[in-house]
Amino acid sequence: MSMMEAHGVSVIRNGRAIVDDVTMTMRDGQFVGLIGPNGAGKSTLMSVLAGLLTPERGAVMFDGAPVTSFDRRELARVRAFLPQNPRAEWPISVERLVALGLTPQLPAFGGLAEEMQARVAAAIEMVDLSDRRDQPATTLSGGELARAMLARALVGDPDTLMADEPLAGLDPRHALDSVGRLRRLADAGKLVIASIHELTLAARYTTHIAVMREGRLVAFGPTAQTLTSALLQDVFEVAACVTDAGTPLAVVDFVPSRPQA
Amino acid sequence: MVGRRLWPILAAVLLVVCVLLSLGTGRVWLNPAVLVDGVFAPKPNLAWLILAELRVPRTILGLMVGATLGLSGAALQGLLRNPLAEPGLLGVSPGAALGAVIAIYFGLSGMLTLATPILGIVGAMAAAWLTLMIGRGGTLTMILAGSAVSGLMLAGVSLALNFAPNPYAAYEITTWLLGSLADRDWGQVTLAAPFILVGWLCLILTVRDIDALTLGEAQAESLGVNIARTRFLALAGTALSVGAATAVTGAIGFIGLLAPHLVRPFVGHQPSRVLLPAAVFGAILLVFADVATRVIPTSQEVKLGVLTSLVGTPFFFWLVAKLRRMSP
Repeated sequence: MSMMEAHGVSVIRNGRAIVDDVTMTMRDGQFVGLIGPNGAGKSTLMSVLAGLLTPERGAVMFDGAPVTSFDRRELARVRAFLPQNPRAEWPISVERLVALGLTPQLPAFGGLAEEMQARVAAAIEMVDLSDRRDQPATTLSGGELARAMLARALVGDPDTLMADEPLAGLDPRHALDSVGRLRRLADAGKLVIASIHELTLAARYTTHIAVMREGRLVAFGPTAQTLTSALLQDVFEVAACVTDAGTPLAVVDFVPSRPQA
Repeated sequence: MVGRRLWPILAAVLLVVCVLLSLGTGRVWLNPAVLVDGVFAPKPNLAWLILAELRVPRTILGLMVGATLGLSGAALQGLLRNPLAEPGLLGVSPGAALGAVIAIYFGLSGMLTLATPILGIVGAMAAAWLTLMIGRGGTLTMILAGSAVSGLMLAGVSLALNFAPNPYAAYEITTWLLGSLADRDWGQVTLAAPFILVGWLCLILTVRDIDALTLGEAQAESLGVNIARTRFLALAGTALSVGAATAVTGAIGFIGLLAPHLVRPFVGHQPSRVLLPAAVFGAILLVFADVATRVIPTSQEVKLGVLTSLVGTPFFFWLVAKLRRMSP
């Protein structure tokens, strides 16, 4: 079971509300796509939900308890967080990078138990990087690194996965692969929250859509009912055309709002 | 890789060789057999006295100080994810130097032999505390704060030299600043050892955290790492161990920078796996350098800190060349 609630969450920087009075409840089985224009406050809201940033006002509840009441390692075991554009700072191998996802499960010293090595291998296999397992992570392409990081986040088998733009930089095949995997995780009973700019993929795979604009949550609900042409037109300020949102055949298309002659 | 398995053996051999050389080398050349004899039946002969009262403490101090520099360099490079991180960068060694220089300047060292190391440790702690307080914001702020604190401490040292009451005091300060293991005794070893051991413990407690930091601060925090605690442990550990080491031996450069880089490619670059080998190779490098100061035939003994800087600088050029190759 996992449930995440935000109650009147506001983050204020230099007198400006970057996240403005956001209230929402998400629970297991949902794949929530967080969408909105650049600078809408998506990443900040994700950090707050992940318990990494304390909001100036409001509170985040995780499974009914304030996220601040959790022990750091305890929280790390039940929710995984992937920030935007994650990077490897040392040229460690893909295998060791993925194994770092098990950090909250490990004792203070010592190596990986055999059972954990098997989990690492399975996670690498899952993202299609088995032939790269010994390659230094710093030499991977952007898309390969993104997949390695996803494996890193999933190796600990968290109940909740939060990923900030997990599809950025992926080629079509791996973008479809990854977003499909996120949906399957939700179908398997986990809560998945991801900010997504690829709206067609969001329309096809997410169960719920949360829309942010200028720090405010302007819409939140099941994808089929929420993701409409009118909403996108309003939020992104471009003429949008949404067909069959919430189905595997959904398409989102944009045209300039004032077509040039 | 076969090379990876051979490294521990190579390290052990080098360690034994450097220790034996350090025990045997000097103005009087000794046979290692004297040590073995002496251990079983201590004899009050000259050879045994030289060993027990001069060479053994000097060697132990060399091993401890070298290991300290290597370990703290590795921990700080892991914490800051910066190839140039070393104890001097965060102001710890300059702080220790200033503390010791104050002891010499005010003649406290004349009244109490241990005044120099004690004030050195105090200086290192003060510098580390300042860096931690000013540089709370993040990695870059911490590096900048460390540079500022270093600058402040070195300015204090210069001021002491400037106002030195007589040429002899200035000479004493300069000599001390050059760094040396010569004429150190058991008193200094036993004074430094507890601080160094507690410092090592703090540094070793950061292993999981510096590994997780490979993923950047946001991911490390999401994995349960308390970065403020990690910074505190790394800095406190460095202040205690490097502070005590510098306070006893003077400033010895480059070992802390060099040792981690030397071993990193052989352990797959994972920060936690760099710690122990960096400590071992730091010890080996320092003891070899100390032996070299005794062997190099100069009218005055080459100071250890001077030698490590001389040998270490070409390494700096190599590091620059390597980084230039790696960046696009």
